[in-house]
Amino acid sequence: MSTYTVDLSTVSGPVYSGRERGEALRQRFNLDAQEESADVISVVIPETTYTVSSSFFLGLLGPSVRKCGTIDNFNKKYQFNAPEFLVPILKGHAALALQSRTLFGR
Amino acid sequence: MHLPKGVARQSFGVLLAAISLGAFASCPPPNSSHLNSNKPSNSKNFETTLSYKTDRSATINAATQSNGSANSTSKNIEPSKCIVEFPTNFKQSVEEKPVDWLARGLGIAGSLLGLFGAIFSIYKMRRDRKLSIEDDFWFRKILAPLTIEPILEGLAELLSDIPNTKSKNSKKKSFAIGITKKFQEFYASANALALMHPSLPSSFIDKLSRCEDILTEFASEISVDSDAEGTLTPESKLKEDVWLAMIDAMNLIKNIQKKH
Repeated sequence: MSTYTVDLSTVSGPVYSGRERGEALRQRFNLDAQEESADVISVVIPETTYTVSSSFFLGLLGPSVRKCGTIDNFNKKYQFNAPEFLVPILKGHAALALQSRTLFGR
Repeated sequence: MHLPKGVARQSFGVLLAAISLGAFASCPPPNSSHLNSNKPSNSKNFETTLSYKTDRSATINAATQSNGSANSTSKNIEPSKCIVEFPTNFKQSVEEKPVDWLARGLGIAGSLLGLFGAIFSIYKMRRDRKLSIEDDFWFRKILAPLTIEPILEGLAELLSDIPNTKSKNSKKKSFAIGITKKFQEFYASANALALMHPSLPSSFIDKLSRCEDILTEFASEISVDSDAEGTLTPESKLKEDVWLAMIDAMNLIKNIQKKH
């Protein structure tokens, strides 16, 4: 099983915010192509992180969530290595991405 | 269709008044000119009777009576000669009187106006009732306490204790994660706005996310620029930007209400 790693420790933190920043990272990590080739995408979030805003998450992983269609499929495809307090927040962001196809659509 | 008593009475009263006005307008006045023009000078009311006997001696009794004076003429006339006198306005009295089109028009217009008034009253009553249910109950008692008020209170709470670059890292971290958690709650409660309009939740959340971005960007600034305080967004500017973004989101709700 092939795994592709998205390591946010290579990006300046500890607050990850801004939709444009998330979209820029998506292009930098070439996630559209990697999703097709890799079986699992591993997202590493440093322990020193304060928070990940919803707009950043949607910029980085919004298209991936919508492509997966459901939270279960997204959780199978994307595995998060993050501080414990961030896990429910990331799940909430993923649910928000599925809530409406036009949400945050720009 | 059930109508409140007050509105039904009002509508009926308007309709009745209009119909009465129309009927009154179409009635001829008591001293119309066409009756006065050929009236003999010595009389006001005329009554004419004509009787004809079938036997060879025809008797024509033309009685013309005027006010206070009887002027009857009775003749035994030979069949070969028959003189019948009629009042001068006899012919005119059996003809149709000229139609007063203006009065009729006013009457019809009054009736139509009354009917329109009654229909409009019913329409307005139903519309006001619908708005009352939507605005008074659903918005004031459900949406405002469930969605609007918690957002405003949560935002005020976040802005009440803003850390700066000199604050402890724990406080900065607490502020940052607090923003994300609060706004996740706001987004969840915003789904109830679908009661007002199906597309309102997504557009409201889109606007509200701008508030979150402003706050998280500030949290990012104070977390990294510990020595460059001069470049930081002033607290007053931060609050102003956040509330402006919030008002922008609230205007969506206001515009939806206006459209109703």
